[in-house]
Amino acid sequence: MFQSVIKNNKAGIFAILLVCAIFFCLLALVSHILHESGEELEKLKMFSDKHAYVLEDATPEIEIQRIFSQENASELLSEFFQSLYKDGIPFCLDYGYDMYQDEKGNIVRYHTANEAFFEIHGLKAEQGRLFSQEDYEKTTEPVPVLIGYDLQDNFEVGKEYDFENPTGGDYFRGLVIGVLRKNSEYYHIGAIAFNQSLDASYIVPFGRGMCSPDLAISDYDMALSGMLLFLEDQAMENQVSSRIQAMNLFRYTVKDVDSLSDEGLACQKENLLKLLLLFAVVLALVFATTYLVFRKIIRTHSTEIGVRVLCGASVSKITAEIAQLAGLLVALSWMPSLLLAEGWRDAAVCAGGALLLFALIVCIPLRLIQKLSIVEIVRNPNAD
Amino acid sequence: MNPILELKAVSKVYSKGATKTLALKELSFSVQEGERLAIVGESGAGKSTLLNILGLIDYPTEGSYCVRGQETSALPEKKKAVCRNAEFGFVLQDYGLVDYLTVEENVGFPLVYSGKNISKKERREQIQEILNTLGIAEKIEERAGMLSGGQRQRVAIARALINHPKVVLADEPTSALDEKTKNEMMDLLLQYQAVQANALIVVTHDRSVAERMGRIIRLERGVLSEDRKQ
Repeated sequence: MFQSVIKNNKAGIFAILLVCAIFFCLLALVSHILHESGEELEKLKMFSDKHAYVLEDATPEIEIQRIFSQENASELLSEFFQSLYKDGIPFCLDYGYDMYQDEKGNIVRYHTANEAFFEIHGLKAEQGRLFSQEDYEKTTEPVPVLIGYDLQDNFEVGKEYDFENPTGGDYFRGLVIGVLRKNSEYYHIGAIAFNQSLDASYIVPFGRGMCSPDLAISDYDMALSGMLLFLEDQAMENQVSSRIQAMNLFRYTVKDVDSLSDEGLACQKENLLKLLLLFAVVLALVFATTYLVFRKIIRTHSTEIGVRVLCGASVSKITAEIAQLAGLLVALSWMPSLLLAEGWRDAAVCAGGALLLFALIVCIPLRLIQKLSIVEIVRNPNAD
Repeated sequence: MNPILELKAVSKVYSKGATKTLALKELSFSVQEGERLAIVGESGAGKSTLLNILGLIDYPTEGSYCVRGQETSALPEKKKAVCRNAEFGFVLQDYGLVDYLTVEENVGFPLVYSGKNISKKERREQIQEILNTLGIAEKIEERAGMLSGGQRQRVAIARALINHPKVVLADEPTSALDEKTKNEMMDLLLQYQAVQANALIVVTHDRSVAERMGRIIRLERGVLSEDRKQ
């Protein structure tokens, strides 16, 4: 029966497909967002007992040009980092640049990080070793280099190569000392928090030897914005804040990571509420559309339903055929959401949503058919 | 000889809220194989209600109704549907064709639900055969809504007979027809009834139609007031 239903109700069927597809795409999006923000909050919690702080940048745009053109800016920034080392204030620092695309299609990245970086993020070497204390103090070439797992076909441990410098377009001589494990990545907390893979990176040490006034201000800016400071008490926090102020350069505020996760949670709740509201609207639209379309279908097909029953179809068989149609519509509208789903988790959420939606919307035509009086239809067969 | 249909003290009450309407009261009669029966009465006498109960579309509130000796009141819905398909053919008022479907699709409904493993090809052949005998084989692919009144009449009869039912139930089959077409309709029904030896039960308020049947049952306000053989 549903072949004749589809043939005679194309616009209505399309409307149901469309609203259900919107529902599933929204579901895939919500699942993805929730999963991502859940993961981010989990990662932020990793630092919650470590007295971790970030530097939140509030430098106005008009100040940036002044800072970048200030003659002694690099020197002041270099002194700031030197003072952190001198006073034993632990910090974790990294930044990087996308450099080029290799023959495998990887975007190869230059990366630099200090000692704490590898320990804090639990990074390990697959081959060779990580940086030693001496590596961080080295000031001459060859520069010790760690490479990501995906680059090991091009770079061998123990050999020297020319590596592209991120600024200036020239090269530096580097000695490959180790290869990181596969799927090495870390969660970068900063102005924007994100997961960063290191599989296609070549990493150099950011140490005392590299803290030279010759480093560009943009490098220092990136280093500061990606920095995690581990400050035991208020006194240390005040110390760092006053040093930043004394430089009279970038306006950074020292902010603890716990407050970031609280803010993140509040933001997540707000976003969730908005999404739930949108969800409710879309779901209401799905129900309204399904109800109206199936009501029309059953009305216009009531003679056919009555005749089929007369000719030996049971009402339950007819309802099963209509339920099949509802199932087909849900299955077809679910498919586009697979394009938005990232990973099995999102796909599973959408599949679960499909089952739930089918269970809910199939009640509509079943209820409408139950209300049909076959007796009345038989008496007035063409009174549609 | 065992009757093919047997009613014993069948009553039907319709309830709407607190209001109860007695549509049929303690009807008892039986129908033999091959019998021709007219059910007559004024409008509202309960004729269509009785036909619906006979055709297992509706069920009695009280009493017993047996089809080929099997009590039907306790039959589950699916078994009633199987019985309806196997034993009954229906000719409805206004023919009850589905206008947007083809003649083949309309006539083929009883075969679709017969539960027999008939291929589409075999189904089409059977439909072709009966349409041939009714003189409308060339209309098989045509939509029912495009047919003339006489053609629709034949399609309705084809649908009622395609599955070789034991009982044909016709509800006011001639109500909207002119004299000539009415006679043609009854001729066809009676012709096939004679050939297939099925029981033919016609609900009608048309005296001339009733007089062509072998037996007349009269209903008055849901009560059997007359049961006579012609």
